[in-house]
Amino acid sequence: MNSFIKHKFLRSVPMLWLVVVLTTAQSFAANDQSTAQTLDSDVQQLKEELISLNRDLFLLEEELLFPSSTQVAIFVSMNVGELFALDSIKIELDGKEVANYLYTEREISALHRGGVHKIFIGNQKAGDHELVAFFIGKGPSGRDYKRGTELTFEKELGPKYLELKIDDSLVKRQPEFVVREW
Amino acid sequence: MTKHLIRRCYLKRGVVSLVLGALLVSVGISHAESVPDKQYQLKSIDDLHYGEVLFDFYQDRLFSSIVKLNVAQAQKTIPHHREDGQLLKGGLSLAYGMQNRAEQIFTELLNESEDPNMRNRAWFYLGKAQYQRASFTQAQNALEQVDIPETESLGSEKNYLLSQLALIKGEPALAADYLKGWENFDSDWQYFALYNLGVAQTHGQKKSDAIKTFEKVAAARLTGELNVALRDRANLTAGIYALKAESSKKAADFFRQVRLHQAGSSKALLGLGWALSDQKKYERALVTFEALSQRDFSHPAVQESYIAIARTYASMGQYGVAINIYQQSVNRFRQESGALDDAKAAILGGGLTAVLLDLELKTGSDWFSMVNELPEGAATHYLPTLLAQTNFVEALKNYYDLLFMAQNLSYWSENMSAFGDMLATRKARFENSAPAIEKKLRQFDLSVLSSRRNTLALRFDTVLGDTDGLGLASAKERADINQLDKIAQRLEQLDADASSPEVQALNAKQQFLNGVMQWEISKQHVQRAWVIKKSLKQINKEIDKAAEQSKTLRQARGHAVEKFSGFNQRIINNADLIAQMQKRVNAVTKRQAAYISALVVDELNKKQLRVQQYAQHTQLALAKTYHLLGEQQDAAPKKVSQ
Repeated sequence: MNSFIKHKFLRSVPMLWLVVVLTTAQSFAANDQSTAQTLDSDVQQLKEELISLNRDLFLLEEELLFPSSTQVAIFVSMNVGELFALDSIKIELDGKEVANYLYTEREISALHRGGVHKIFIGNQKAGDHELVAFFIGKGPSGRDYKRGTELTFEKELGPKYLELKIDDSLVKRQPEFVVREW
Repeated sequence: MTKHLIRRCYLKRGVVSLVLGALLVSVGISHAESVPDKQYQLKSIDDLHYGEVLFDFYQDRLFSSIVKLNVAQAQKTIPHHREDGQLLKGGLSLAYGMQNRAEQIFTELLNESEDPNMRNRAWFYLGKAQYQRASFTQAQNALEQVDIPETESLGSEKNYLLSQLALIKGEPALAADYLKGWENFDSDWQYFALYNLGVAQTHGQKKSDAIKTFEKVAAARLTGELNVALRDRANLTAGIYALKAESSKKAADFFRQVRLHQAGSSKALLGLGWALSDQKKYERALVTFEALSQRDFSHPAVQESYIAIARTYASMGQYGVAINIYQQSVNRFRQESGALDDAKAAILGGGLTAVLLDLELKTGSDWFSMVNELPEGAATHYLPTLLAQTNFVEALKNYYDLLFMAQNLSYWSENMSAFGDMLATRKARFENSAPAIEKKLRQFDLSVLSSRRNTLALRFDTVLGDTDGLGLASAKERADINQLDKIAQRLEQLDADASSPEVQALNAKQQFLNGVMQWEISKQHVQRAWVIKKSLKQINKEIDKAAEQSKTLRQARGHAVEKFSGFNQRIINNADLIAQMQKRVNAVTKRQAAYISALVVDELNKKQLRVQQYAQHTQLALAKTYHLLGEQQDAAPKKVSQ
């Protein structure tokens, strides 16, 4: 008899607990799901509209601040990049420093994976301009390494895009720094 | 025998099955977030602006990446990545929680693209978007269209999703079937698939198969936090099943493999304690339960450890100690219930929203990693334990997305006013300088320059026609020739005898120098002619450019007023849109905050109910232990009297 009481008591408590919890959970879940769905749908709608609005605002900003007739944009890309560990890039346009960018590990990783970084966007008059870029980092032997490259380009009426590309010359076992006009 | 029965009942049907058993109904787990797949790492980027989108994407800046992609598409600067761009856009939309938009993009892509590789991926992401929207039948239909081998990451994930859909439909055998080839899966997915195979087997009541499956995951040599966490989970699950199968020694071995400081470690400690207790290793069980009891009391396993300690003392026949601990436990449970009341009151009073806002301000987008370091308070104490719940995390994500939207709109709102000022200044400057520019433009006559250039070209043609080539001589050469001519004239006019050796020598010298000059000039004639031709061409180019610039300038001036007015209208329209959106975002943010609070309060109610049940349970156990103590005390004097 004694053991029967213990047995019954020990069984009944958790069973009761489970029933109460499950009932509560189910009743809440019904309201919860409907509220969650409506809210989620509203948030999705807002996100979509915000993205569309941001697109229009970026276009407006670019047209206002960097009209295509004067726009010059400089991009940085990396192909392999095993022989050179990039730290920073300094850019001079017509002898004036316009960008000096220190890269984070995350950004370097993004460049390695094919990402392209817009390091500079500005306005330049039509005509010839001289671009000088300095690449600072670690070279093939892990030593400090700084290399410059230059290009004289002509700014015409449309926007001008220039790419600074870091490449590996496997033949020379040296990094290569190329400026390309688009 | 009676005591043994009591213990076994506890173990098999009692508290332990409530806490540890919760894990056994777990659904499958995925190895990654729903970000687009690795194959977005293109071999070559043919449009700089597409690379710029990827630069943000690879840094998990989803919003910025989507916006830049939309801008690039509007500006038509990614002509070489049209389909890639659409696929990425869909994937980004999915990752940013816009399943509806993602579904729309993938459907459009499927209607447009004929590339089988692109279509496969579009079907896959469409299925994934529908799965996330809980449109399970549509998701299954879409995923069944995907023809990607399971050896590839997307193929592995496809099988994982199909197995989840089969589980939802209540077909565990089919779910297991999708995962049975786990060894061929992409390496990132293999052991997640194996674990999920175990889950499918438990749903199919194939418990022994499931244990073997979990054992395989537990025994695997895995590296990386995600994989090691999976191994912990497999060890924990295998341990619980072993415990239920009364293989307590095996269970203890599994529990010991779980790392001490990770999500499931409290459950593992509880399981280890029960497993040791089952082997009658009460002292060691007590050490384990007591170590667990030092942890955060809000965790169910820790709460249960209080009862377990008392229960173990009772099993050792130390009813007095057990009674004391039961009494302490009842008080502790009451205190906890009171703390839960305080937490609910603080949350309903807006305390949670304030903390979440503060956290967002301090950490920005990295809020998730910082939640565990929230300042201690009634409203925040239980928050970290809620993070294991998907609906809570999703709600929190949406809340922080809404806060980001408000910040973004506020940024643009300020910019609109700056743009307006900038435009007004520019317009004023234009109006001030307009008369002077007009005057210059009127004075600027390209026909004069063209005429001068034509004269030069004519002169050049004439010079080229001259046989002596002297037309291309330099100024110095001309001066030297003049000098030599003058010398010749003077020699002719000399009174001295022309045949005298001195005069003859001077004549010869003059003729020699003249010859040298002629030769030098004729030698450089071709080169000089080329330089002049080039210069004339350059002049032509410059004149054409000047004509073009002049034309553009005149056109720009003509359109300037119209352009200013257009910009102004765009600024006004966008400022209106921003203001309208700000209101809507604020309203939805409030609703979202209320929803989160309701979720938390509901969860706290459940916790409170459990704590109250524990308290009742403990009181009953206390009464029972008093009874057993009485029996023990009754038995003791008898022994003495005997």
